[in-house]
Amino acid sequence: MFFLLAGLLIAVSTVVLLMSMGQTMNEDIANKLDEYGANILIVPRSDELSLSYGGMAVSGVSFDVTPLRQDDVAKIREIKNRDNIKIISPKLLNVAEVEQTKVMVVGVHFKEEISLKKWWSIIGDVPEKEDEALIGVDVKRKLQLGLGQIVLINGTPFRVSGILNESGSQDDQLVFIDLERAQRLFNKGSEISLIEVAALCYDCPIEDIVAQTSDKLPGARVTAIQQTIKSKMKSIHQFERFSLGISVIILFVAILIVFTTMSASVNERKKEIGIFRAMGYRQSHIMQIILQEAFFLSTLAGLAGYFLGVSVSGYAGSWIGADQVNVHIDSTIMGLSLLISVVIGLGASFYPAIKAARLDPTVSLQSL
Amino acid sequence: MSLIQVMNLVKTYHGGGETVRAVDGVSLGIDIGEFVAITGTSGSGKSTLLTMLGGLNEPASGRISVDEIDIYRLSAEQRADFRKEYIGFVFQAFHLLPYLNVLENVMIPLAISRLSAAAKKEKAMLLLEKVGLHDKALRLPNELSGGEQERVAIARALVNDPPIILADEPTGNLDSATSGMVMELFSRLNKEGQTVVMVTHDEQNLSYATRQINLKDGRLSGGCQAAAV
Repeated sequence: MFFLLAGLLIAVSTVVLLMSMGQTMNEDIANKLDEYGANILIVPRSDELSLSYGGMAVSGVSFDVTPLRQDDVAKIREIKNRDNIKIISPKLLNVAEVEQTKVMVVGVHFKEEISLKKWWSIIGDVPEKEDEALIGVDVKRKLQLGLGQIVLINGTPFRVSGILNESGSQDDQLVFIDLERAQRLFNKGSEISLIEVAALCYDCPIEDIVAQTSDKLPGARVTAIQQTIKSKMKSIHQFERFSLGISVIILFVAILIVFTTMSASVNERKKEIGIFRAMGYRQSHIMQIILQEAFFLSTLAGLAGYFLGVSVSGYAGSWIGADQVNVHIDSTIMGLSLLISVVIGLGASFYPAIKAARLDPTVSLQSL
Repeated sequence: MSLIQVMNLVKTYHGGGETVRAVDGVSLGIDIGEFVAITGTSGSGKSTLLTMLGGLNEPASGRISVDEIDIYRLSAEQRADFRKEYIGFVFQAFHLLPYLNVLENVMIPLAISRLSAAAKKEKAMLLLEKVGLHDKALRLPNELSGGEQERVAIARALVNDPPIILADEPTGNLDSATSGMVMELFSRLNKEGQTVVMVTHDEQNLSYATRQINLKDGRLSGGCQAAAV
């Protein structure tokens, strides 16, 4: 019976370990999602509109479209999956004359923008006042600007409070100022050009959030930028499929172990079964004894296997490089472990139990 | 009408291309309260006859009735119920389960009864008292002597109050002094009204039986002798 217990324990703990690792990887992705930047882009709906921003096309703001407004930001907060939304960063893009040069000026809420772009490295300070600006490194080079210097944007003076270190993105060629200040500067009222959203969507389809946002903002085109995490998610899905395959093989091996152990146990206990039968035990009683034992052992193995799997997954999570490993008792996985263990235990013991029940008492007694 | 009626009983075994008639046309009757000793040389068919009387070994032909129940016309499950109600087996090598203590071993037949746990325990303790082992109820079988183990096996056979005890060489593994004590116990039970059918080699045991049945090559030999107790 030791082999039965050990076989089931190892099988259940391995399955729990693989499931927990998959979950840890998913949670890790969710925790790091904001590091990948926005994953939803909202722009005014128009066939003509073509913007190039952050690797996406953003250009010539169209005139025959309903522009996005500041109020739209609040509407996004009203969608059903609002709890999944982590950052909303509205932007106003406008070409302005800076020191006699045409430069793309972006109005942003710096707090959100900094949260969204964890990779930004800034020399100096993030603008805190309306008359401060953050400039990209290419702008700095081209216009030969320095920290603290006053720069004229469409004739309005701004102080350069910070310079973005080279990021390799289009941000290097932009000037960032406060959103409301930009709206006044460019006479745009509460208009905004686009909204970037970072949503935590490892456990929900991002398409749902896109659809819900589209419903709230009928005049906008809402697009999921999935490529940022797609490759990582693909790796996780591959790991999950691999885990599933391994789990199936392990569980199959566990079935064989239980079957062989129970069959051997029945053979070893012929004498005992013969005594029971001589004392008036029915075939059903013998089956009941064997299956009760299998149930008890598999329940024990299921529980022990679950806790062993969870304990090991704590170490395994760190080993695979997850930053945050949450080792917690998940009643669903615990229930599933118990169910798997008991189903295997009882299922694989069923034939040996029938065999035991059908043993000819005289044959059993011959071994006495 | 006898408690046990055996009519023209035949049991055959097939092996090595031959058919062996282990029991060959045996007919006999055993009344309530008899103490019958079945004797015979090794291979004479006495143990086969005993297992057939206990409903464990289906005959090739013939009939066994116990309390007017034709036991081999019952289904396998009904025959199990019959054994539970009518038969108490005592085996030569005691066959106690080594991982259960004395009390638990005696309670094995009660595990499938509807009695409460307390009633089962009380009944098993009464039987242990009857065989003089109530003070060793919590010992494991390997802590007991051979005679004590046999007495536990007898208590186990009696725990369901069966009207018939079938004992297969009950003193086969015991020395003569211990054998005498065990046979005294069987004799006492028989005097209290218990029907006992015992297979034995031991001439000494015959003096405890009320009747001797001798088997030779599966057949009754020399008629059924009544022995003086």
